[in-house]
Amino acid sequence: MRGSKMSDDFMRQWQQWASALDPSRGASWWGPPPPQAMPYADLFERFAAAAGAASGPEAARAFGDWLRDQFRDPGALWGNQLFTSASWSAPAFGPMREHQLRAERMTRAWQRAEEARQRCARLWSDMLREAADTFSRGLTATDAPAAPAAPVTDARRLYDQWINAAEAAYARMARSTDFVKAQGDFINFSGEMRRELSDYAAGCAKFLDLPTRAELDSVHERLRALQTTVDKLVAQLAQGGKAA
Amino acid sequence: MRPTTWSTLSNAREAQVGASARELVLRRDKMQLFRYSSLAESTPAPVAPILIVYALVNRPYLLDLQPDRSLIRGLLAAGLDVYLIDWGYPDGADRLLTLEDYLSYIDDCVGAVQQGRKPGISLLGVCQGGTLSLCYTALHPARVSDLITMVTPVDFKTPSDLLSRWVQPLDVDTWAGSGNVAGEMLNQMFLALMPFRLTQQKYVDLLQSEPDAARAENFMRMEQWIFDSPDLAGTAFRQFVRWFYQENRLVEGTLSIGGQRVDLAAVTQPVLNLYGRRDHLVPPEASAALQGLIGSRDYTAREFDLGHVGMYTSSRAQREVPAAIAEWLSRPRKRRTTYKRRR
Repeated sequence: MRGSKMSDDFMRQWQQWASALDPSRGASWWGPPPPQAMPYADLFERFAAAAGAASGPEAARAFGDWLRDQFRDPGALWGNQLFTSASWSAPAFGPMREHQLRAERMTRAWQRAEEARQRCARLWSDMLREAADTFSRGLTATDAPAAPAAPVTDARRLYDQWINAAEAAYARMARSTDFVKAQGDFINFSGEMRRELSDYAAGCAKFLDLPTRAELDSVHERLRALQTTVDKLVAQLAQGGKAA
Repeated sequence: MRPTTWSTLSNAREAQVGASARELVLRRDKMQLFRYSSLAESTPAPVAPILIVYALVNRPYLLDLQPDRSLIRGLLAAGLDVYLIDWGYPDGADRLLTLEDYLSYIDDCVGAVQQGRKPGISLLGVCQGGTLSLCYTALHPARVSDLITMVTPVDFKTPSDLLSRWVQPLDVDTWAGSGNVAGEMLNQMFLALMPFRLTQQKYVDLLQSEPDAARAENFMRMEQWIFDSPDLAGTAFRQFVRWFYQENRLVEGTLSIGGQRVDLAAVTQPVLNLYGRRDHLVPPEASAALQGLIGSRDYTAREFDLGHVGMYTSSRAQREVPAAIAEWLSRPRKRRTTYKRRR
């Protein structure tokens, strides 16, 4: 009787798990929409949030940013498919569990770093557009209509004007919260990716019986502790010598 | 054939850096302490020897780049006995060095400079070396008679400090990993503070100028210095970024190094604080904050209309900075305040 209840439970859970893996059934109790749909769900959320904030330009900007990201490189569309494939969110168990989790972490860090890099690139693109606007306005417009801007004929002066406009626009962008966040995310997620890669390399090193970084650090720390002890003893001996 | 700017620059590829004669006094691990030879034409000044503590970032030959651009030569000309700490190029064996270790190196150097003399030296801390000098002086006040800080960050969270703004969201352990930090990476960050001027305009300036051998050599020396970036010992780097940039512990009064509290109120010796009005790496207000934190009643600040590197290499700096230091060291002293260590 008890055995039968257990096997019923097991069967029910097995069926639920299998149905969750079946993409034809769409989202289920298992959790969020399938990974392929995530960019669109994310866009929808951002668009709705911006629209909810009653800011038409903000909503339009969110949509524009998304379009720019999607079509910046047609080849990347296929690449993104690869890195958002459902296999990365499959449950992890069995002998390959650790490898799968590491690969997932590495991929996730890569995706986040790439997303942050795109945000940086977008901000750079906006900044350069602003710089170009300022630069061209400086050439053609003036506050006082009676005194039109003098045409710039000297190429060097023109270039310096461009540098001034670009540095001014850059300084504004570089201090903005968006840029600081995007750059910080890029550096942090790149670091995470490197750490995972390093763990992977350590696994390979162990397999080949080569020393790993962690082993070297451990030996290094022991050596340091030993050096500190020797230094203290030498100082004590010197003190003892003086006292004698 | 008339030389072109390009050929003049090519000929200046191997411009020599380091202008003044010096001898090695002490070596410990990769740290070296040098003493500069006095100039034949100068009269020794009746003041304590001066020990220069340079930053861990970049190389100290910036202070003695060429005969007519040398802070060190200016100090020698004023009759000062000049010592310089060169931190060398840290490698993997130095990745566990801490800020405590660096202060211990300074302590060794102070001991070597003082050997056989009456106690007291003048410490001249440059940029990050100034921050280390402040920490050292606060922990060993009896060993330092005068303290000079030059373009030294003290308050790491001033509004105009772009570098600090960038560093705040970083997870320093993840960023730096467990190893050393590549000097090249930090260099990219410094260049990114003003990318159009520092990676484009200055080269256009150069290529547009008349071919001139001396100017080309000056330029090449500066290029060599800018891109000759030692890696930074990983542990000390992480401590510096977290404790100073992210937590601003020097200003908050919460800094401890090697288990000892670093209290700037313990700095009661005369202090000369030199900084540049146009410094984009260490904004003037980041240095000027020192006045409100130290215990000294004998504090002098000098602001120069110069940028960070211009404080060492500009012709104006050659005229004004060594003279300001020498005059200040030779002035009549106020009585030192006493400091009672808080628990």
